[in-house]
Formats: sequence, C-alpha cells, structure tokens
Amino acid sequence: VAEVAPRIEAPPLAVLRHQEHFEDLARQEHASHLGMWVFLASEVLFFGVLFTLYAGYRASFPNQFALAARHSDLALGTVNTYLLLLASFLVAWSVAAIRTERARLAGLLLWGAALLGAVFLAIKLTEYRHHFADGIFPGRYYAFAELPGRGPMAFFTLYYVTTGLHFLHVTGGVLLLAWIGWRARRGDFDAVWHTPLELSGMYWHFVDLVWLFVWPCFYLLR
Amino acid sequence: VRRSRHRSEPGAGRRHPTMITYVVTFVALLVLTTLTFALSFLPHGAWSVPVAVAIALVKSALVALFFMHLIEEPVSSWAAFVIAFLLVATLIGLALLDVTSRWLVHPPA
Repeated sequence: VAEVAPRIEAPPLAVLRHQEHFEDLARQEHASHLGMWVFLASEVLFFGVLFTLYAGYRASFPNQFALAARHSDLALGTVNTYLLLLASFLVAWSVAAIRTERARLAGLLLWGAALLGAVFLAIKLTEYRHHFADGIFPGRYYAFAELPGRGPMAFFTLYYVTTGLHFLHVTGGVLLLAWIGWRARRGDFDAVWHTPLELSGMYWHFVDLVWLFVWPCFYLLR
Repeated sequence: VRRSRHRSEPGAGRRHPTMITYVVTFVALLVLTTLTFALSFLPHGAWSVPVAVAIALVKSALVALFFMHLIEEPVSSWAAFVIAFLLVATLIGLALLDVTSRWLVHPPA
C-alpha cells in the first residue's frame, strides 16, 4: 500500500515574520513604521538646512537669484515633477495591490515607478550636461560668462548641492523599488505582512515630497 | 475605507485608504502642480512666495497623509514627522530674520 506523504504547509508570513520580542505582528509593524517616520524626520532636517541656506542667500541676492533661475530648464524640470508624481501614484497603487493580495501586480507597479525614476535621473543628467557646457560649475569653479557675480554663483552652488543630494536619494529609491518589486513578485509579501514594501514606498514618496519644494525654488522662480 | 478584521492583524482598527483615495490624491496633486506652474508666469508680487510655499505645503500634506499613510498612523508617528517640519520652519524663519536685519545692527562702513 503506497502511503501518501503528508504535505507540509508552510506557515503563513504573519507567523514567519513575527519577531518574538514583539507581543504581536501589529506592534511589530507599528515599531517599524515609527522607526521609518523618525528616519524621514531626520531627512526633513537634512534637506531643511539646504532650504535654509537657499532662503538666506535668496534674501541677500533676490534679483540675481531670479535671473539665475531663468537659466534653469523649466520644461525639463516640470516634466520631472510630473514623472515623480506619477511614480508616487504607482507606488501607492502597489500598496493597495499587496493589501488585496495581488503580489505580482504590486511588484510590476514598483518596477514601473523605478523605471520612471530612472527616466527622471536621465533627464537630470542631461540638464547637468547642459550646465557644464555653459561653464556653470559649483563654488569657485563657477565660470558662466552670461551671469557673473556672487549671487548666481550662490544660486548654482545651492542648485548643485540640493539637486545632487536629491539625485542620490532618487538613485537609492530606484534601486530599492527594483529590489522590493522583485521580492514582491517572488512572493515575499502578502496582504497581512508587507512591511518592507510599505516602508520603501514611504521613502519614495518622501523623495517626491522633497522635489515638490526643489522645483519652485530652482525652476519656477522668474 | 476598510477596517482590518482581527486585532492581531497589522493595521488592526486602522482605516486603510482605498484605490479611489489614491486616484483623488493623484489628481489633486496634478491640479496643484499645474496651478503652481501657471502662477509662476504671473507678474510677481508680495504674495507670490507665500502662495507658492502654501501650495507646496498642501501638496506635501496630501502626499504624507494619503500616499505615505500618515492618516492611518498613531500620534507618535505624526509627532516625529510634523515636529521636523516645525523645526525647519523655525530654522528658516530665524535665519531670514538674521540675514534681513544684520545691517541694522552692523551698518556697512
């Protein structure tokens, strides 16, 4: 008599992922989220210092800041704003998908957002290339013949530091979303446990949020 | 908006935004972005900077509340994030006070 081996069911993710030092998964999730909010709060302070410098220098050189901002590529900067908003929407949709147990769709949406992020980076690099061709470099290497002086130099130095740091954050976000999207499609998350997906999404939305301030400061100022 | 069924489930008792919330948030962000863009072509006045900052803050609030799910977080998460913004506002405010009033204290020679 052939005996059928009992099929061993893998325990659900909610059991697998629960760390014993938390009373239950809800408390564990709360701790993870609070940690993420504290990290993002420190990022607010990090970028906040750069916007403080921007406010101070703009108050010192109001007209020269407006002249320098007119040299930013308004069209590319605005396209990038819409790209990041669309990417954020895809990430929000991805969370909605995993919360209703559609893991493969959730992963696909994260990849879509990562792709939009990569296009954002490509556009930003094109802008930098145009600036370099004009002799716009940060700090004492600033050599833009059309707009000499300390005001435009301060503007473009802050432009490089702020958009450069933001660029690094987007790069990190693209890699993160690509990886988490791959994990989602592999089946690492379900409707009950998907903390890495939610936290990565929060990070991506924060990067979008920073750009909502960068864009008016460095592109829309006329 | 749905509520989780079991107390032990993550997000128990918390409201989850639905897909409609995300779509409405996204459309609102697109409208506000286009509004900001259009306003930047108007001649500048004393109101243009406060209006631009206000729109950017409204957009940030939408992103944080609905996309980042701050609306379903307990007060501890709110405190961490909102206080960071208040600290930055204080920093920018005091820095501007210094830059714009420095010559009153030390007049240029």
